[in-house]
Amino acid sequence: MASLNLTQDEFRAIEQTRQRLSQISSSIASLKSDVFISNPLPNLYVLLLWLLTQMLMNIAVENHFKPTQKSSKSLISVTSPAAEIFSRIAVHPSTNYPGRTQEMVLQRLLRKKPEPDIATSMDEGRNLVAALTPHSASQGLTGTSTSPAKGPEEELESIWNSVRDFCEERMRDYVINEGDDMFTEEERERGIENVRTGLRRSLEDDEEEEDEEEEGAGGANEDEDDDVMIIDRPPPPPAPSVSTQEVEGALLENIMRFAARGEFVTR
Amino acid sequence: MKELFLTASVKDSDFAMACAVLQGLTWMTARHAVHRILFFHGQPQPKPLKVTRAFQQSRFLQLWKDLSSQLSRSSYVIQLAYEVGPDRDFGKETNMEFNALPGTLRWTDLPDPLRDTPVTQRKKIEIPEQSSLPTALTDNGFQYKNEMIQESYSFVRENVEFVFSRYYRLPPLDEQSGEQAEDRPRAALPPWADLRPVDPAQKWVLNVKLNVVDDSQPEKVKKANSELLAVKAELEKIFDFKAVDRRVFDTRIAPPPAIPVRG
Repeated sequence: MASLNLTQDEFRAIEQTRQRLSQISSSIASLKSDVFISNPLPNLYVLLLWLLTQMLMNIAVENHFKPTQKSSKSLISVTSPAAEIFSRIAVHPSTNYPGRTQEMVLQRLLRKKPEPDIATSMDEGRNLVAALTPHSASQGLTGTSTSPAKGPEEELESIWNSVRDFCEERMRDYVINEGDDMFTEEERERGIENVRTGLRRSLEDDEEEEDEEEEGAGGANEDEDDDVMIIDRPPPPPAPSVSTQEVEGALLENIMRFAARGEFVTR
Repeated sequence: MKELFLTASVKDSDFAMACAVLQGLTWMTARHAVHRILFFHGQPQPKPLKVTRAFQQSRFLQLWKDLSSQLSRSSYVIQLAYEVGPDRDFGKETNMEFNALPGTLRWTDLPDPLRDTPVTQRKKIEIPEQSSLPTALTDNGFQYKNEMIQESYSFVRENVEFVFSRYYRLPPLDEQSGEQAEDRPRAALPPWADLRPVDPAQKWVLNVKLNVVDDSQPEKVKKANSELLAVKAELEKIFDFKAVDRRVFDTRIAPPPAIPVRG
């Protein structure tokens, strides 16, 4: 390391930056594979996050190789703590680095500008962010890493707020007006005498004053066979005693017999 | 071909919900169909189908041959089913010329003896889209006996078929003659509302059906059987599938004395 002429601090700063960049790179890779693997597609938010991270990565690469720029203004928290150091030091390969055989790596590392395809995707990213945040576009990407585009966020917030307001209002309404109503609206429409409560004692006693009006419409069906099924309740399993009621009407066997032969064989 | 099926009855008042359940289960809306079914009785003595002029050209000649060999063992009641439209064919003066219409011939054997299982399993021959069916049968000594109307709603999930059926008789032609058997199918059908339900309570019969085309392989029949039992377990809480005495489905002529039935 002596040949690099770096102090302990400088070296540590570079090392830290390297590590964090490697972290970011691997987390982007995993996010990417998540996006590819996950089915159905992840929601828009995650995708947006992914895009943002990718852009950040590009910028990070850019900044890393332009340490002399005003890095205090750059968004990258990775490089900013060591900004002062990076503004001073010039990284160059160590004398014993195999420069001939590893020329490609060196070129990549010491490149001053982003590679063309990265530059393109950076432009795309900038445009995307600019479209999302028309008024803050001038600021560039600064600060967007922590708070994503402001316009949609406000919009989302207002949606969530209105949802919460509605829920609160509805809940208050329910607690005050409907909470102690024992029957659903559907049951009331069909007449509450027909509701299967599973109780012998009538529930009507408890709420006479409420029932008065509905009773007229409910009709006076005393026949227990006129039980009305409530659609959102699963039908009760046929109890053994109930199935004998089938004698009203033909026996299943006789129906089947007729269907098979076209005649009743009743001998 | 082997046909395996479960049987349950569904009260008319529960029918809408039963349909809703099956609609959810099968992801389809029911297919509503109405069939006019003619019953033909074979001769007292078993005989193969000798006169073949009506079906010699049939695509399903092999099925006819199978049927013939079954009929040489025993004489049977055979059904001819013709699909009709409730709006189109009822209460109109249109005549149905059965020999010109394509129909389905249905023959079913006495179910296999299976004890303590709700699955009924029987041999079946169905010859679809065949014209001149009545001629084919009367040529061979079959006699028209009766007819009925079958109304059905069917659902299909994979290869399992769920069929709700309800059966109707035609009202007697004039009230004096009563239930007298006629010797030929009625020329025109009465209005739908005049049909007499076979079951006064208008219950629906639910059959959960599975066909095994190649019935020479007991393994396949066994698999179909367990498949049906799985459906039964799945729907146990909703439908009460019953083991039905196989004699109920007996279509042989001169069967052994019928079991005493009450009602």
